[in-house]
Formats: sequence, structure tokens, C-alpha cells
Amino acid sequence: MEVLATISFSLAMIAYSVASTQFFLDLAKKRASQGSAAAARALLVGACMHAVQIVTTSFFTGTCPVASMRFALSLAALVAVVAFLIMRRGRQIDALGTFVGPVGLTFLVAAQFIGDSVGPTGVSRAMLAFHVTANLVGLGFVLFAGGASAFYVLVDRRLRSKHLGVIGRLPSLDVLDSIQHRMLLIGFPLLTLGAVSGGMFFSQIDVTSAISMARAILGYAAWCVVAGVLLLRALWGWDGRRSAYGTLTGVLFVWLVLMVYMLRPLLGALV
Amino acid sequence: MIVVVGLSHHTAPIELREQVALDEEAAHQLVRLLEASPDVAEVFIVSTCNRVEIVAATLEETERSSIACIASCRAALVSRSPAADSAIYEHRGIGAVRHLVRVASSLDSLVVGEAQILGQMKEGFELARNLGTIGPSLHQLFARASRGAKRVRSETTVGVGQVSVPSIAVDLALQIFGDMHGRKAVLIGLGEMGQTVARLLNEAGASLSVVGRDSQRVEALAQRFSCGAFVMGELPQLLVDADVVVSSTSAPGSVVTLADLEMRRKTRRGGNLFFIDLAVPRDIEPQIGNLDGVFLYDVDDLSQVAAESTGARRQAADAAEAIVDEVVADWERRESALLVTPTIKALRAKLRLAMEAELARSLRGRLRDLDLEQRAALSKMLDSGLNRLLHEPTTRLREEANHKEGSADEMIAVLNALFELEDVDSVELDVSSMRVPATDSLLPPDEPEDSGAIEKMRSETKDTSLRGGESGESHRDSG
Repeated sequence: MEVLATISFSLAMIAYSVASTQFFLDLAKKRASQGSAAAARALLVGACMHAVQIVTTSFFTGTCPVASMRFALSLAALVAVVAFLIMRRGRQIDALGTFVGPVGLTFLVAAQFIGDSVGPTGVSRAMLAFHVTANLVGLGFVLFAGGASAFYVLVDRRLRSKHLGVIGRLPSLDVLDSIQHRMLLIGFPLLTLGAVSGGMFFSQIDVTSAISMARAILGYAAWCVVAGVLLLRALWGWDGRRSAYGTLTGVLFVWLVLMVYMLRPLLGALV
Repeated sequence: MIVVVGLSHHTAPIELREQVALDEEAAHQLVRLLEASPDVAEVFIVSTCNRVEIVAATLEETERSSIACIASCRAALVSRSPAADSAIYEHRGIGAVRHLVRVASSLDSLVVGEAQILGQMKEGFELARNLGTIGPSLHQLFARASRGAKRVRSETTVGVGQVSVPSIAVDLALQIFGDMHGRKAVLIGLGEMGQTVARLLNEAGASLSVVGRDSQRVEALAQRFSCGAFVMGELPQLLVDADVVVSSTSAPGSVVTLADLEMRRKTRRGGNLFFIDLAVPRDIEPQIGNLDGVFLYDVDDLSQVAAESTGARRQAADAAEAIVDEVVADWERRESALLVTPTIKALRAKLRLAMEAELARSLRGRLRDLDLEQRAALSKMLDSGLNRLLHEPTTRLREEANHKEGSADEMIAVLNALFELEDVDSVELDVSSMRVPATDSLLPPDEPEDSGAIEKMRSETKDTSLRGGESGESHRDSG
């Protein structure tokens, strides 16, 4: 089982690397790309190997994937990759592969070096699994929305600067805006479920721990920002650039939460 | 001498070019104004959204004349906008010829290889021709420039790829909206390029509305596109639902202002709006481009984007420059040939006069019994002999003029000195063949052969020459 996990990890890493490189090369081409089919196929192989790696590793370590921070990161990236592969069907958004590919690769590798966290005592394993699953899947969608937003800002700036180079290599603004909106619409309920379930065992958290408090505050801040983006969009039509900047702010908070998780041992020692 | 005076995207921003830009009426007036100038012999104007240039031929081939001509042209442009003075460039002589050929070949265009410029030059040329301000020099020059431009398009890859301002505009719309199906496009005005953009948007799937001041023409265009026709007063309402607005009117001021977008701001929530302003002077208030979700591209912006995407064309342009060199060399040969033509004519006239004098004398003497037919045959024989005699020197002189710089001048000087060609009466120059002296036009055989006979011959020659001169002028005009 361990061998299978190692092989799938290596293959996933190679496939993600190939896909990322191919996406970058296609974006750098002088002519507009009509679709990076090979890169997408490599990404799909990477995603499959990634899934196999998560399942096999959880088996041989005896850890539920959704009960561990180590797997949570990895699984969130896998969700973003799968969301991209689904969304790219019928849309020219292959440029987003330059974001999603490296995210999959980085999180896959980073997960190997993160120490496992211990969940709060006194919380049922089912509830914890639900909480983590909702959060990490929601996180995956928000990450993908963030990628779309980053590209939106990039394309918007290039259009305004009137120096586009070859037109058509980057996805169109409306497609990026639509993807960002859809990803948030899917991710936000999941993050809400995560926040609600987290609230249920909030009392279990050591409130005297600054790290735990910071993590909770940043998590809620991310949720609020995403909620604000969706609300402003629905009420006042704040789409496009404003929505993209809002989403990127939400993603920033999500990153901070992840950083707190990853650096918890170091931060704990410092605090 | 040819001169070109003007300003273009190289020297003037769109804000300045739109002040100098000429519609047909203004171009008409400017041509008339320049025609009245004593130093301008021929003139036409090229006015596009990227350049306004006056192409003129001077009255004399002198430095003074060219300076005066350039001054007149510059003053005419500055009268449109004093700010244009610093942006105006001048070319004269071969430099002007080269510039014109490059412009016609689209090598001087912002979008190198774009196909519209030659048609726009032709429009300016035809306007001037209808006004009678085109003479042999500009006619010849324009013909050569057109041929050169066609060669550049057919023999190089400069024009390959069909990157044009309209196609770039549609590509940008697709970059913003992704898919044009279900999108609403509004065409303001009836400008040709605007119609092209609207047609391409329509073909890409956008539904179209046409807005204009002339309801009849708007209706006609709307029928062609199978879309709605609207008057200008309905524009703010149309802007509420519009995704793309293409404006190409000849209005002197802004057609769409910030205030026109107020209704959209209040009514519509979100959504991008893409303005394509193809007019010079511009139709869309520039501040509109600063609004969130609004993208505004004018002609300069579109041309810039097009130019960035045509790096390969710039390489092909090097091959095109070689063709330009050939056209310019051809023009130089023509100019050189014109240089030796007076000498050749004078030499021919001098020899012909001498032959005619001898012929007249013989016909009064030993050959006086010849009848008219025989006299004509004799005249024809001498004519042929003269042609045969002069063929080689004439050819040689033209060749020298074409190939060796300076050597033709030396030959001209030698011929002038040997044959005293300066003394040849100008009216003799256009008589190309020997006149047949009629029997009754000759002096009585017993009358002494004095200078009076020659004088009479000369007076006859002048009469004929004058007629020949008119036909010669007519020939030059049609050349």
C-alpha cells in the first residue's frame, strides 16, 4: 500500500509538473492557443494519481483524509483541480491552468511536510470530518475563484493599458467573471457549513490560545469577505473588477488561515 | 519638384490630428486654396484618420520654388490648427517620392500592411483630379506609387494575415465578452469602417441597432443588416442594454457623453461596456474610458494593438522596402530622362533646320523640276536619314542619364558647345519631321539664295511649331 502511495505521489507530481509547464508554454506562445488539450490530459492524470495517493496514504497511515490538516490541504487543491477540469469544458479558460496546475503540485508536495494536527478533544469524529470536509472543499472552490479573479485583474489591466500583445491567449473577462461567481456560489455554502459546524465545537477550542483565536478570526473574516462579494454583486451589480478584488481579498484570508495551520508548531513555539 | 507636407501618427497624437482632419468639403477648399498659390503647380491631399498630407508639384524645378511651395502647404495646414506647426514634416524631391510610395504601400502606416490606405489616397487623388489640380508630374507619380503598392502586396507577405482595425476591434470585443451571441451592439453613424466592425460583430452573433441623424440612410443600412434603426435621441436608452458601441460619425464634437451613460448607471447593474470610437474627431468623451466596467478604444488604440500583433509583418516590410527602392529609382530615371529631353530636341531641331535649308536651296536649284510627290519622297528620305543619324546618340544620352550620375550633364554640355544648341529657337523643338516645301511656296528659281528664303522657311516653321506646341502641351497633360 505504501509503495502504491509512493508511486501515485510520484506520478501525480510528474503529471502536475508536465501540465503546469505545458499550460505556461501555451500561454507564452505568440499565437492564440485553441486549447491545451495535452496539458489538460496531463492535469487529469495528475488529479487521478493525486486522489489515489490521498486514499492509499490514508489507508496505510490509518488516518481519515478529512480529519487531518495534512490531507486537508492536499484535498483542497485536488478539489480546485477537478473544478477547473470540469469548468474548462466548452470554455477557453486554459490559461487558468497556469494557476491551478502549480497549486495542485505545491499542495500535493507541501502536504508531505506538514505535521498532522490534533483535533479538539471532545468533538465527535463525524462532526470533525464534516467540518473539515466542508471547509476544504469550499476552500478548493474559493481558491479556484481566486485564480479566476487574479486572471480577471490581469486581463482587465491589459485591456485598459491597451497593450495586449496577441489577443485571445487569455480567457475573456466575462468568462472569468462567470467562473469566479459560480465558484463562489458553490464554495460559499460549503464554507458556511464549515463555519457553522466549527461554531458548534467552538467552545472546545482553547480560547486562551492566540493561534487558535487568530485562526478562527481569519476564517470568519474570509467567510465574511466572500459573503460580502456575493451580496454586493447581487444587490448593486458589483461584478467584474470590484468582485475580483473582493474575491482576492477573501483568498488572502484563506491563505492566512492555511499559513497559521502550517506554521502552527513554529508559531506555538514563538507564542 | 515633388513636395510632401503633412502630419501623421508618427508626429501628432489623435487630439491634434482630429483638429487638422479634413472631410471632403474641407479637402476641396484646401485644394482650391493651394491651387491659387503661385508656387503650387499641382496638388492633392491625403486625409485619413492617421495622417493629413499635402502632395504637391512645384511650378519650377528650383530650390526657391520648392521652399515657397512647402511654405504655402505648411501655412494651409497650420490654418487648420496652429498647434499642428510643430508636428508637421516636410519631404521634397526624391525624399518626397519615397515617402509617398511608402505611404501607398502601407509601410508608413501604424498597422503595417493594412489595405485601406491606397484606397484613401485614391479618393484624395480623384478629388483633386476632378478639381483639375493634377498635372503630368503627380499623375505619373501616383501611377508609379500605386503600382509599387500593388507589387508590395502581391510580392511580399506584408499584407498577409488580414489584421485590420475592424478585425482587431472584434477580437477585443471577444476578449471582453467571450461570446458575442446574445450581446447587443449599437452602431452610431454610417462611417465605412464602423459598418465593417458592425458587420463583423453581427456575424459573430451580436444583435445590432443602427443610430444616426439621417433617418433615411439609417433605415437603408438597418435593412441591410436586418436590424433596428433609431434616431440620435434614442441613444441613451439604447446604451442601457448595449454591450458594444461602435461610433463612426463625422460629427465635430462628442456624440456620447458621460451624461448619456447616466441612465445606464441607474438602470443596469453590472456588465461590461465596450466603446469602439472610429471617428476623427472622436465621438466618445475620453473620460468615459475611466468608468468601471467600461472599455474605450479609439482609432489610435486599435491601431496600436494591431501593430503589436503584426511583428512578423514588420520583417516582411524589409522586403517591401526593396520594391520601394525600385519604384523610386524608376522615378529618378524618369526625372533624368526629362533632363536630357530638351538637349535631344534641340539637337534634332538644329540638324533638321540645317537639312531643311539645304533642301530648300536644292529645290530652287538643280532639283527645281521635281514634282510634289518627288519632293515629299525626298523630304521623307532626309527625315529617315536624320532619324538614323540621331538614333545612336539619343539612345546613348538617355542611357547615360539613367545610369551614370553626372556623365549626362557632361554630354549635354559638350553637345551644347559643339552644336550651339542654346541658339535653337524654342518653337522649333516640337516639330518632329521635315516639312515638304510646296512648289508655289518657294522663291522664284532665279532669285538669289539669300537669307530671305531661310527667313520665310522659319516663319512657316513657327506657324507649324505653334500648332505642334499646343498639341505638345496637350500631350504632356495627358501623360
